[in-house]
Amino acid sequence: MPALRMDFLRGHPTASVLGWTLMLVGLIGLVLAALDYVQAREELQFALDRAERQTRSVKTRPRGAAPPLALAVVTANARVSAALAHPWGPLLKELEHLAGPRVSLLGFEAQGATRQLRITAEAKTMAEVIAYVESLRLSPVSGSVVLASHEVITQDGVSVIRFSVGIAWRDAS
Amino acid sequence: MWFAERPLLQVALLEDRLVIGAAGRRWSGRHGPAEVVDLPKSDPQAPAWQPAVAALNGWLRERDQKRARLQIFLSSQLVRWQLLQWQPQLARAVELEAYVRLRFRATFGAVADSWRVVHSEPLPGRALPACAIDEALLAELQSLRSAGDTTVVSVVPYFSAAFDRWRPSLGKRIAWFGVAEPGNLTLALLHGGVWHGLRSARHDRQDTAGWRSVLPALQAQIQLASGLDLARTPPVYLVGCGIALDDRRDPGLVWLAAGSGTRPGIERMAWGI
Repeated sequence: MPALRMDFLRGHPTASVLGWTLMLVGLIGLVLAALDYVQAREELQFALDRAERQTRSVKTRPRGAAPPLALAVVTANARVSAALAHPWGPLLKELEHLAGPRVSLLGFEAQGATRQLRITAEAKTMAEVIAYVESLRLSPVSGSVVLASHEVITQDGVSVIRFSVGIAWRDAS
Repeated sequence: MWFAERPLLQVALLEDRLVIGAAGRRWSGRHGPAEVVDLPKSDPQAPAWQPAVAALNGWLRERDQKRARLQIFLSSQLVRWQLLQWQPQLARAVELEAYVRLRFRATFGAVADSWRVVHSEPLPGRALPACAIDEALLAELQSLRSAGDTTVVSVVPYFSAAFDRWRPSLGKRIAWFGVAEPGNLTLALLHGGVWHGLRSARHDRQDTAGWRSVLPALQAQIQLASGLDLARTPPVYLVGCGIALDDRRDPGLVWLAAGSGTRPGIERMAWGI
């Protein structure tokens, strides 16, 4: 039940004790937040100054020669480079070309070091599958071609043959 | 010495009496003795408050209370009350002030132009208690400074002080709250802190028959104006101040006593309780 607090000398009723308390708490909170803000600003400025000093010292530091790599690391680098240096571009282009419009290529899984490649594809008929496998066998990029698996599946009411072919490939040149 | 604490006097002004008491220690909660000065009948042409203010002025000079601080409580005999309806379009304090002034002028006429009005803190959707006193009374109280360095720190209607003191006792259910003074009864109807009515009535008799004679009429007027259907009679919480009590047991009547076994003397008006 609100108090009347009528006083002819005060004119308008002033806020209650609760109101003054809330205002005091708010002011204290404001001061604390301001102090926190000032401290955060100082920390930010300090961090920026330190970052700038570090950048400046890196720029001014003379560049020395890189430390020599260990022999084992050099050997591993050479092996990885050799494994990744296969002519993937021409190979994939040849495989896509052989597929033509009747075979849809779904994926390749390759192991660069062993030159083994697994192709997953789909065709509407078994004859088209066999024709694609034959064209792979005749291709100069393939060493051996094996039809690893096939199955008939239904997609949107249409039956297709999904198959996978394992290839040992070689450089066409 | 200048750094000595200035005495705080609590003063009640009535038409026919002046009550002065020295405020006790705040932490003790006790009040010292109060002095009651009976006043001669005032000139019918003079303001009703004039004898009391003149007596206060003389008392301060006689007692050499030149540096006293005064808390003044006004009897309802010197205060006009109104309960004003909430006006949602009044957004600013100045507009609300003008509205309160207009309502007093509409009720009491041009004489209200020379009154000082105050109102409680406005709450959205709720009626607003407001009261008025003569501007000249305030000027006279301020002129008490001429008796030395006397300062009037507050001028509060006793009804307001008593309500603020006793409002926790009313609870949240609908109830009457009244202050019975010598020759006057001020009555309000409240429900859960919402004011539904506020009126004051004078009576001639100083005994218990006085306030009893005007209570039913005031209740009927307030109930009619509020439009409330009081199927069950709400309890009546009464602050008795300077009135005689009879032995009648009234169901639903609760006397708000200032202390156990305390006679409802006029002194409590000076304490604002």
